[in-house]
Amino acid sequence: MQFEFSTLLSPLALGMLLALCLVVFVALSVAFLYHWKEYGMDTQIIKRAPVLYLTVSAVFCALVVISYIVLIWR
Amino acid sequence: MVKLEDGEEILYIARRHWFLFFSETFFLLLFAVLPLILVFIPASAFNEVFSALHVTNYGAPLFTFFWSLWLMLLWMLFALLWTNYYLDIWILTNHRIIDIEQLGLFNRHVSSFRYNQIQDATVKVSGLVETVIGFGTVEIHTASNESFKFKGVAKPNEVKERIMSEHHRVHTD
Repeated sequence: MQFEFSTLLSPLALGMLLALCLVVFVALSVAFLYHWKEYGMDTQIIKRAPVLYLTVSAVFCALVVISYIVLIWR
Repeated sequence: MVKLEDGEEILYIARRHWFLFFSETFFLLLFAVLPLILVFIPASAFNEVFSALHVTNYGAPLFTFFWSLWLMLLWMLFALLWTNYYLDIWILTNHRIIDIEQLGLFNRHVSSFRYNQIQDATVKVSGLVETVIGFGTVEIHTASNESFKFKGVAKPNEVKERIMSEHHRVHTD
């Protein structure tokens, strides 16, 4: 069987990889937010942590989704 | 959140020193910028690779795609390490010491012991780094021959002093 790299880098394969990463990201984010809310000691840091975490995550998610859209549109 | 008893007040929250968290996460920063090395390699060096992968002219968006995924992964790892660091604490109250050990997500050990159970507390600061930066290990031995150890705690002597002063207060009351 001949191994085709292009299959691995097809829009479908990359899309599946992106979807998998986003599912893992959402699952872990829910776990983090739950832990910080449930077990955090009600400090200023723990109150700001979700905002900072979600902001940075949104930037990375936007970057990865935009680069994927650019890839499939080319 | 830890449930406190009636009349119980939090006196001090001891955490591992930030330097230990920094040393755990510093490699993440290195891994985050590592792919940027590829930017400094001339594009001609990738021509053969790109043509073999059938991705000629897709180099930049492909790089951005995989790098963004990589950054997302590292960011989640950072959040995990921070959660472990921030939720792994000793809470000193006026009644007892609550030892909370956070071991990853969904793995948390909470134990507590009263000051009158304490027999001895020791501080161990070993090595140049621990001495200069100011962290160490506080170990508490209880009457039931149990010992509670907090490794890498910031200001270990202050933690011990606070524990012993509460221990003394409980015994003199």
